[in-house]
Amino acid sequence: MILQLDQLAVLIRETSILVAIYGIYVLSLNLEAGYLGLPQFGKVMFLALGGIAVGGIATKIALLIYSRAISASLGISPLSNLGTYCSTYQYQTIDIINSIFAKSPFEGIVFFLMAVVLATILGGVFGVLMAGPALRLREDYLGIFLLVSAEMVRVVSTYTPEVACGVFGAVVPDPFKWLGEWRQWAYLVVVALFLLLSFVVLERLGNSPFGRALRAIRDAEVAARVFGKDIVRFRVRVLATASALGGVAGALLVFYNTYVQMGMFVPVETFKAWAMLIIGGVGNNVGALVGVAVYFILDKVLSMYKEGIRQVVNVDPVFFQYIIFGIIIILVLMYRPQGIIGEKPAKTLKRWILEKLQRGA
Amino acid sequence: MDILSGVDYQTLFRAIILSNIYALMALGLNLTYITTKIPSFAHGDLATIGAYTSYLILTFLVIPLGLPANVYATFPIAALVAGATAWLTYVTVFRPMIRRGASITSLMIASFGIHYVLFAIVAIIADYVQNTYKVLSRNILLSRWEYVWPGTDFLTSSLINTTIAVAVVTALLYLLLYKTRYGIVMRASIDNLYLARAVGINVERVFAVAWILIGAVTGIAGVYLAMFYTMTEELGWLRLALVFVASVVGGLSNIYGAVLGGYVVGLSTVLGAAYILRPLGVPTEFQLAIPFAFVIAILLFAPQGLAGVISNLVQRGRK
Repeated sequence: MILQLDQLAVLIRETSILVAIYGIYVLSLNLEAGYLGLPQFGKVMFLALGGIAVGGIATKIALLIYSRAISASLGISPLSNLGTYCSTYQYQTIDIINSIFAKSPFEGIVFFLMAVVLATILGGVFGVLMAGPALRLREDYLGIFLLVSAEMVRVVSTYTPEVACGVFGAVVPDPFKWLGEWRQWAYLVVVALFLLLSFVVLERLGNSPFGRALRAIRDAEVAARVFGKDIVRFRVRVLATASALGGVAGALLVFYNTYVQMGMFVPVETFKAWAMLIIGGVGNNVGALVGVAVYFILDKVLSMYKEGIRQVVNVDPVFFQYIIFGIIIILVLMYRPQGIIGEKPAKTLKRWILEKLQRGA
Repeated sequence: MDILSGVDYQTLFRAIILSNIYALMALGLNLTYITTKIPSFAHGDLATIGAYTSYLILTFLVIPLGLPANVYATFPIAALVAGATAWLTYVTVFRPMIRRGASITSLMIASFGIHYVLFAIVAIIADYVQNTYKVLSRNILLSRWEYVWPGTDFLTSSLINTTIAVAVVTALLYLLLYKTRYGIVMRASIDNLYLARAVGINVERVFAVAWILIGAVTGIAGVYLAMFYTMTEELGWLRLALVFVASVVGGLSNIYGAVLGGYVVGLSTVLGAAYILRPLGVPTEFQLAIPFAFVIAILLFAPQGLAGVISNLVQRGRK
């Protein structure tokens, strides 16, 4: 299959956006699972919370702020009757808000930042809530607890229409409407900036005394405790940070789709992140990003060539993709548990200082 | 029984049937946990495999041959195929990983990889059957072939059959574990791996047999599951969270806790939906939230599960 140049550009752009969003998501999982060794099987919960923050809270705030414009042109007040709004007026209403954003970049950016901040706060708060059980439960029980909590968030938010229009799904205003046809490219820049920021923060965190303490707790909890590390406080902080980042990733994902349906935050999303992390390399931020890129590139390549498979065997080729990913996960775990890029020892000093010391010795 | 006076028998029967099914599913999961210390994410797919085996045997073997079509005729093969699958996953993935000293978390992730593979294989078979033989292979209920006792309706028969299944499986497990030589070997390996090995027990072979049992029990549970939920490749996977709930509520390391947990899940979802949610005007989809809330509470306050709580109380009572 040969792609036109512009098609290829679009393909690369859309893949890069997803890589950047999932990059943030997997980096935050890496902080919990790779550095602290927490069995975070409820990661999708924080994507969902990002979705709630954007589709449930921020969108309603926008509806409240622009209610005059909406009622002027549509003659309805969406917040007074959410049921009819969700089933009938969503697209028209959001179109009005979008046209406002198309004229006023400032309002769009403020709305975007407010939504992201909301997602961060919501994710962080839930992370701290989850820290309670994380302090007392054993590895396997904690995994199940987190999985079930994530399911709880999904079930409750999907079947409560007040949250984000429930099973209808909520349409989200597009804060970058003013960019017109450059919107997707600009969004790529935005998510790349977010990725860069979180990468730098997490890399600094990982190489700081804080990060080294996390690895110590992961490798030998008792020893770390003996040396006076307060494991409880470390777990709370890690969960809060990583969950807030997870919320940001969820918000970015929702703004990418400009739509959110809470039912899509199924446990598979958690395991996708784990698959990426395992393939790339646990405990290494660069590895985590490599894993995300490999996953999405494989995913795109396989989906481009899957029609060929259909002609050979008369079945839906999507499932071959599942088999390939399943086998890759198992093989990596069995033969290369460190992933493509293994964990490196934390840098305690700058390289030139180390070299100078070595020369001196 | 004052509380049950307002309960109509259909809801109650349905609740008990679901409890039985979840008890069977959780029995398999608890055995997995006891032998290899992992809550396996591929557990639901074993049930799906059992259900699909049963269906395919019925449509391709039993009905064309003109035999009386009945799910119970397919039980041995469904149990065998699911058991063989479970054994294969243990031998090819879990055993080598445990030998290399993999952590519980990475074993859980590996079990998720197995879920991907099994799920996709079932889906491919379903697709292939549908496209090649023009046989409907998705969104079917196996209830058509359930054995109906003379003079009763489907629901009553299912109630009797699933209850018998749970009773028989638990009784067989009890006999196997407590009355046979092999059971003693198995319990010894479960209790203390190193000691059992030192005595000369081939622990890995014992566990391999245990995995066949796991698969067999779960495969049968899958057939029952497919009588009440439409059969797709996601049949088991979608209910896995509830199976985990049943296991944890009962107590992961206690085989009979699974039955208890299954009853908690089944009764609380169905009865909760009918008698708490519906009168309050809450959508019945929220019934899932009831057992989830249950398990969160159990994990926070009594992680050893209900079976552990009860045995503690019994011990205290004896003193």
